[in-house]
Amino acid sequence: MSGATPVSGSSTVVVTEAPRRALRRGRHRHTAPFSALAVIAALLWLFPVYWMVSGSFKLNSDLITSPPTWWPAPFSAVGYQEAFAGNFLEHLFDSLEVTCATVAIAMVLSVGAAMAVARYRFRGRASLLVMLIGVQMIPFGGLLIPMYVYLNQFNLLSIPGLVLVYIAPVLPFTIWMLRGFVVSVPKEVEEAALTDGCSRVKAFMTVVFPLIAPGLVATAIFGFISAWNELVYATTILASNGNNWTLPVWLEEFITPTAQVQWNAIFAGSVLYTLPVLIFFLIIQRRMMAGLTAGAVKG
Amino acid sequence: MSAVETTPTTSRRRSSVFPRGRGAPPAGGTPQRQRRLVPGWLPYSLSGPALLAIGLIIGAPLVVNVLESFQHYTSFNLIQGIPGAWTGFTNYVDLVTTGGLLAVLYQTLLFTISTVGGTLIIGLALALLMRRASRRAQVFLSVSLVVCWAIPQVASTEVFIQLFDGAYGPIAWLLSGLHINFPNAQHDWFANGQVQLMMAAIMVIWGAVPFVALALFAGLLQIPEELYEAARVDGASFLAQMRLVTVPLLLPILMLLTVLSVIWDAGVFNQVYIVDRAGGIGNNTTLGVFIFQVGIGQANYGEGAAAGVVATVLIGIVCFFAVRQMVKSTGAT
Repeated sequence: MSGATPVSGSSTVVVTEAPRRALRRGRHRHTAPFSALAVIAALLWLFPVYWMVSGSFKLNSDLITSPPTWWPAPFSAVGYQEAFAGNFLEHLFDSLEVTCATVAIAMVLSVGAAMAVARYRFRGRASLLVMLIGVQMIPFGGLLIPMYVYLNQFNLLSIPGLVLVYIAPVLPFTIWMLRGFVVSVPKEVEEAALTDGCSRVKAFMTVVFPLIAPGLVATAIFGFISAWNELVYATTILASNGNNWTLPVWLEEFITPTAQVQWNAIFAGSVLYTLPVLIFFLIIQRRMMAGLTAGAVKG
Repeated sequence: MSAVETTPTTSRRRSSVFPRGRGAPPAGGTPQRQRRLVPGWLPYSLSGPALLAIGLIIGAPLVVNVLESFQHYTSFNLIQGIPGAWTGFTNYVDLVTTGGLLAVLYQTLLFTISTVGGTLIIGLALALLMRRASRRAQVFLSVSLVVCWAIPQVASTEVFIQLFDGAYGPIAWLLSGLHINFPNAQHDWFANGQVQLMMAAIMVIWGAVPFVALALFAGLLQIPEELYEAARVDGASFLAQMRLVTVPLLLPILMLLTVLSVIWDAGVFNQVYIVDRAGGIGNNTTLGVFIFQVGIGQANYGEGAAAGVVATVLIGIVCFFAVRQMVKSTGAT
């Protein structure tokens, strides 16, 4: 099997990690062209982001000219004014309602499940773990129709219904993620608290919870981002819900084939919609990537 | 939905690369010791609520989807609260004969192959670049990729639609400056469904590359430099090094990334839907949007459910075989 070489190969070499690092630097003398290419690739990839931010400060007339203007001159906040006039704040509130409720419920559910699979051996534990992986292979969009029909029957084509829909698909991943954090807390610490007469709940709250809190934050942010970005269920379920749309639906409604498109307002709306996610993302990114590489090194 | 979308999947990756780890006993110690300390109902009551939520919100619709796909169920049934009439395979037959399902499947296949292929090739190229680049360039590229990765798809798609504008967009400006008449002399990316889909594919690739590139870069760092050295001493060219060292050693990660990308790209909604709406052409589409158009747009819930079943089954089959292959190739060690 082709897989045989890599794993055995890498496991022998992990030992020699440190000297290898030291050697590597001197080894590539021809880094300059590669560095230049890397910088070009980075700029190319960043261009749409630059275009979004700069476009949000342009006048709309500067976004419908040829050749394109590359810099916002005059620098204008009209786009932002229009985004706010287009009820950005109202929909921000709707989005926050959906995401916060989703995250809160998903966190409570997944902390329990993560404790169970990380700490205890019980009948059905293995199949539960397999199911958590299997569920993530289901294309969630395929379930759109039954979800719509059922929510309609229970009169839930509204924000609470959307929260319900969002909880389940984030659970498998949040449970997996939290499980990793719980496992890293030594069982003995918790047992010591129990021996000292703490109740199980108190032992969890005073010993385990503070230790997994950073992991909890990272997991919560993951759930937040998922719910914040979702469009297809939001647009289906909230279509008949008056004007209570989440932000992606609101932003998407800006582009219609008929209306005169206000690009600067769209770009400003996009920036406002992106900012919270970007900040959160930068907070947990290091942890996510660290997790990725840590997993690879340990083996 | 996006649950799987921004997943760098620490745990899943670990379990797939090192399958033995998953089977390891939990930190709970021996069963005897646990029996004294933990009441038997505790793990069940801890995991029960989450399990119930998954069962109700994913399990039940999964079953109902299949049932509904065999029924004639429209907005009439929905509003009147009348159960649908059983019609056997009529919905599936209708989807194929009049609904254009085969064309949609074909387009989805092309779309998935080109986006997954494009993402993996570009991602691998960027990962290799990062490995060879100076420390500063490496950091700059990886931070840029993280920023791009964080942009919500709806926001980036709106920006891309302006970027692709035939009259005012920078891409049209660039193409006409280079005298490239693509996709046509007017640089109109909304000219027809095929070109629109190509535009959506570019947006998808842009959004998917960062995660793939960063994950592959993390994987590349695990490959010992000595192997490349040995290959160079033996006179291996760059391509030979790729074929003999890089790709085989990255294979577990590459396979995992391929499976994830197939799930995301075959079921893509956001980019294709928004491009469709902006262009006003609704017939050239992929499976994810097709379910929405038939089920919600035309209020034909039975046929929409049938399309959903087709999507679930097809993607499920691909994942099943890919995951089995993955377990086989890593389990062999």
